[in-house]
Amino acid sequence: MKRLVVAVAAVSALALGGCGSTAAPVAGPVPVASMPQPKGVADPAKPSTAAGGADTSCDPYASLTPSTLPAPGSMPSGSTMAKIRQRGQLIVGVDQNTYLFGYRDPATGNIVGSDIDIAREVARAIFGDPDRVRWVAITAAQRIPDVQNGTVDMVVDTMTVNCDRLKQVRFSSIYYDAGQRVLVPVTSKAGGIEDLGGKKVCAAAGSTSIANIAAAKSKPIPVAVADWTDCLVMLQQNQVDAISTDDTILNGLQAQDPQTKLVGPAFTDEPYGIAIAKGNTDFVRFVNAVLQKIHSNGRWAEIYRTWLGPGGVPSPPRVTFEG
Amino acid sequence: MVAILAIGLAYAAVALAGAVQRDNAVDRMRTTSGPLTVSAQSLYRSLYDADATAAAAFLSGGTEPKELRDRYDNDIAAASAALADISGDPTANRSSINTLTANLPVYAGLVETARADNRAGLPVGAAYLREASALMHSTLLAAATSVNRAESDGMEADRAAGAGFPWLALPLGVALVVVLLATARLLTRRTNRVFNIGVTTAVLAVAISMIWMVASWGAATTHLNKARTDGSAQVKNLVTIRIAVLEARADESLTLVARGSDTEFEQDFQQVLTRILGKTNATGFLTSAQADATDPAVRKLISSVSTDLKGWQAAHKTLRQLDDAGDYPRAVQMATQERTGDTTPYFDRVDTNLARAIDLTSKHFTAQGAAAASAQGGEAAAVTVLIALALVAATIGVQRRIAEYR
Repeated sequence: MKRLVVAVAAVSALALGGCGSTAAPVAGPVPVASMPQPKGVADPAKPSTAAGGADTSCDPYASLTPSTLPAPGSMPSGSTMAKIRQRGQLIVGVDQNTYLFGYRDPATGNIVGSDIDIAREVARAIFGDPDRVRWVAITAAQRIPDVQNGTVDMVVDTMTVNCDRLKQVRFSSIYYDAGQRVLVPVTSKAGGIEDLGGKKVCAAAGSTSIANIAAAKSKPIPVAVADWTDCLVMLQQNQVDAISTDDTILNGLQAQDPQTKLVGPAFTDEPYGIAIAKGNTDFVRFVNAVLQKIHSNGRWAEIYRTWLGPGGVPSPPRVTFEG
Repeated sequence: MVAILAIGLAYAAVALAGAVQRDNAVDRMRTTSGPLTVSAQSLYRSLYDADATAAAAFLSGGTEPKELRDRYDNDIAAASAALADISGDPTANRSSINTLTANLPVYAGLVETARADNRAGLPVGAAYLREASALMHSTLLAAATSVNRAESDGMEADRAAGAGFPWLALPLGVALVVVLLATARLLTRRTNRVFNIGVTTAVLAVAISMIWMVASWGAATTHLNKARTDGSAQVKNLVTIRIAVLEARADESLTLVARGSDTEFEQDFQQVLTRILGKTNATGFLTSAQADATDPAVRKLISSVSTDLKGWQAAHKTLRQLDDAGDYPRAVQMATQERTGDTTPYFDRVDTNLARAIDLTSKHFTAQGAAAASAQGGEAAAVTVLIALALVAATIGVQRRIAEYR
């Protein structure tokens, strides 16, 4: 049977062969490699994510007067702190992608950084134990909704205090002063945001940075991503020309890639505060008392030295208390 | 006489062509489309497994465990090999294959970058892993799905063609018998002889050829149907279950990796397990697989899969309680270590047993395919010989009578 089939096939092949159709593979168009993008990238960023930031009707440095700090065992009954203590842990929204501020240490899997240490001081004040914290990793865009709906007790995540945000949540007193700068590859000729007109500049969606990029006079093209490290991925893959955000975050990115450099002066003020839900004024006062304490007992300077400033600790940010 | 020869030759041609066609279809199913379907399934599974394994390895922190690294490497090797197999198939879905060929190295590159960054202690590694995973789900797995569908459709078409009933040949055979009988009657009337040995032989030969054809069709069809019910159909469902289990595994890891207020992965985990195990008022994949199973050994494997999945479900609940109560380190340990009661041993057993069940079921497919081929094997040759015999016998019989009559 097989032989018969082979014979038939051979005959038909001979017959067809006469027609001269040699089936050489045809080369298609030369394919062009396409670079994948991080999940959730908006290139260019939608105008809605790039709005706001220009409101100057308030003083971001003003916060509620600190309460006197009770001992860990004796939180006023009915207070937010008492509820947290009863629950057994403080729930804190943090970033696990901002090197040196709040990030997952790949070696241990633990979330560490200077923001993390500040949050641990609040836990120490409530429980007498800085480890009583449940970390919830959130993106920049989740910070305000998660505070508002009570998913977290507070957010310590390189969060700039501004008038727009003060309408939605309360903030502690300022614990860190940052300013927005620009990170570019070492080969780049750009010397600051003014040289990036028409170029793609990356920042996290829902951050003040993305709004500042969109508002820059040189008119760069803002590209929004979910996490700060996504910006570094896109820069390394030549998908964006620069990253622009707070110098603090940029230092963390630069430390991960020596082929990048910070350029230009800080062109905005970014005072960081701890975000707390509007109703929990007692907790705001409590956190302000904790911040006051760590400024006076040297813990704040210690945290700064550990993570950010082997070169020297600046004087603490100014604070104004009203109400 | 002319009518006998004309119908006889037409019958011979159609019967032979049909037999060769069915034979070739079964051959293709056994040697080409069947193995390619297996390759396509292996491609999808390997890709999915690579992604789930990369996530699990990341969760373990620091230097990833050797077993996970080996598993990932084997997945990429298996996916590349399967892709090479399928690329040779001229009927394959070309654009999907191009997508896979272009993006698989890109995916592997991103994972390696993530690994180098992780080893250097840089959080940007996690971002590379997220980008890799997004590429896998948005592009690679989607393309693998369409390749999978095309290959399994091709196999099913071959199988159906192999089981085709000889609709065209049989009426011609019947017509041939009728003409032969009419001739015999004519000859009887003219020559007053009751039997004409030549024509009688011809009628018998044609009848036997038809019986042979139908019998061979019947036997082959039985085996081909069994190849589906005992083999390919079950394999398809078991592969679906195995991939769903991988999805649940990835969800468990990714929930812990994301560490967020985001509950999307955990919801997906619950949905996937419900799909597999079923609910009180809905049958799951496993129940149907159990009902379809024809091999007792496979049935036994499915039961143990069901038991282990329930064990996993319980362990997962404990893991989630730990994480939700803030004991993240212990939750991660439960997901990454291999102690009794951790989730990994359950997953490993489920995956291994499903692989065994798929292997056993595939063997039934192969065996039934071979049986179908051998049932059809002699048909073309036998039918050719029988029809030739009929035509020669009829010619001799008729010629002799005509000669005598003169």
